[in-house]
Amino acid sequence: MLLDVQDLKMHFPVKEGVFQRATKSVKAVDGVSLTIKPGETLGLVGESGCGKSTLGKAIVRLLDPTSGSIKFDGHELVGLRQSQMRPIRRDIQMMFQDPAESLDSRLSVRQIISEPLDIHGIGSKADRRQRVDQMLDKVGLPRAAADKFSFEFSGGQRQRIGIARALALEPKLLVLDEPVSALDVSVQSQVMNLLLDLQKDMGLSYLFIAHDLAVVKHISDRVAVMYLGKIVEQAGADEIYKEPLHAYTKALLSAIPVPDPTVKKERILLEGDVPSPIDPPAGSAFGHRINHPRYEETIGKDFPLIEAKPGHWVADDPCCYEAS
Amino acid sequence: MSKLLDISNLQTGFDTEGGLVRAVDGVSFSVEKGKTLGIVGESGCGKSVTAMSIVQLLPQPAGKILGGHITFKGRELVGASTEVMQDVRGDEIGVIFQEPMTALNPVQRVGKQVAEMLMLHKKDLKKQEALTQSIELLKEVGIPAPEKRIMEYPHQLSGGMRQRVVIAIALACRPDLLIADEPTTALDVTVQAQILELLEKLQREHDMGVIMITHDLGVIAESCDDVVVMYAGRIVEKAPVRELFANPQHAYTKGLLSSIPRLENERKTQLETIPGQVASIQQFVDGCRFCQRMNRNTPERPEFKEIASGHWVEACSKCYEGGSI
Repeated sequence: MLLDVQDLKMHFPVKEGVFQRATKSVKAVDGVSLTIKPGETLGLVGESGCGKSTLGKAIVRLLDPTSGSIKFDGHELVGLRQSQMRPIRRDIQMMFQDPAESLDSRLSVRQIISEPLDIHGIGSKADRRQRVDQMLDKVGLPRAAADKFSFEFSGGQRQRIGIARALALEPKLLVLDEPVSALDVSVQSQVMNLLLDLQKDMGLSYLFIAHDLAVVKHISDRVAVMYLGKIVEQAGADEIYKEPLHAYTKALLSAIPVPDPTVKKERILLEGDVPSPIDPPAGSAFGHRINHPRYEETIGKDFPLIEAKPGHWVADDPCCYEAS
Repeated sequence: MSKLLDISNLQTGFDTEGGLVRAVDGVSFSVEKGKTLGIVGESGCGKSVTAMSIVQLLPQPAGKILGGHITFKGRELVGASTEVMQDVRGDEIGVIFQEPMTALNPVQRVGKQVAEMLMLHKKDLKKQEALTQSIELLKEVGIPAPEKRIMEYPHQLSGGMRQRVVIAIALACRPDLLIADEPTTALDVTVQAQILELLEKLQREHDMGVIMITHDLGVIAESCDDVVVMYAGRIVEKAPVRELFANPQHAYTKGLLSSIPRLENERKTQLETIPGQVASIQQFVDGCRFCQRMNRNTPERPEFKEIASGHWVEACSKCYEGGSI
């Protein structure tokens, strides 16, 4: 395993009152376990506020997890000081959704791409120059782009610069947080093709976080579905779309608008929104949303994932999954 | 079938430091009662500017309609006075904006915001009566416990609930035409399904014409009767929805349809792409603009012609019929 996350929790205190005492906590990530093999893509889907971005940031240690374990290439990352994290950072990189905000507009593209090399003290100045040129070739930008500023580029090109920066250190794992959702369809497919090519080329592993289920399916080997801080289902990408087991996954899949007017499908219409992670329901989070008759039974209980079929895991929650 | 709205050769421009730019360059289409017209295209193609031209909510003072006609229920709206437009807007044409947080006033209770629309257009309506009607409207758009919700502020509502409030305001005066500008783009997919279902139901009940602006071809396929595909300020293709998806004719439409990842695709295969990118608005050529993207030169603007009943295409010799990308 390249990445092995066990029972990871990321809670944020909510401070209230005059004395700013922490009275409650937001359980953004609440006991998540997942693994990624070398060269594999795990897709992580869920609606806004489900904790998928927080999970991504906790894995690259931009956030300090509350508890749990993150093993990367055999090293435990939880509890490491930032200085101890630095050598490991070479191998785990992250890319963000908004290419306009995640690139420094005062730096040239060359400076942006070579900054990680400078920080890690890699190569001579001439080596770094060469590396930047190589990276630009790899992501399909002209070498002349190096001397321009990021704002001179379109959204898709900026996202290519972000990819070049993330890959400059030749990491093993890339955490991609909604990398294509700000892009137009025709540019989105260009960037996805690039990500697929680079993965083959460099043997990269991806944690691909997105809300667009069709995009996630296309790029992933396995998919995990998150709801209110927890993974509720995890399986091979084809399998989960063909035979979803969890009621939430089913609802999510049925809600995707299909770009084919001849298909008239039954939507499973959910009421309400994702509940707030500050005041989550006491029992099954999704059972509460759909007003399931067996909700009462689930109060105070936790539902670990069980392997319903080989490689297909689902939360064993009586409101959302019925074992056949 | 009566034409509710008819737009012909609409031209909308903006004064910029670099001179006048034409964001919408000769757009024509019509909307019928009870039908939904979808406008699809990528960012900057002019779809929102087209819609905002209809209700004359263009950024001021830069934006202006340079030419063409907008005929709504037999009346010409281009050149109409501010007073006329104020009466039309909200009363006869409702608008749903993309971002519900910015469309609502953050420091006013939602009940008051709905009531405001009613009182603006029905002069003799009492405040109390307007609030009662607001509760009814909020109930109609599926907001639970509306009598409590009217006392809340937008930030106390979730994204989906806020969008329902925006819809309630847009529909308060029972408009004949509803313009929905990316109404579900900021929402999660399960909430999007709720809102699309709600819009369909309200449209049926009130026999409204709807203009649905979106970049999501899935939303188009599920909710529209006719579709207009825009590229760089112009319409490249226009057809009934099934015809467009089954039989796209323009190279841009074909490229757009084949570049979306679909659930039935084989995973991890290369997706179709459209090479290059849209030229910036200052550099738009007179000739075929999709050719411009493909680095081809067509000096003259292609004719927009009807190739089959209701199916129109910008007939550039390179982008249509054997035109490949």
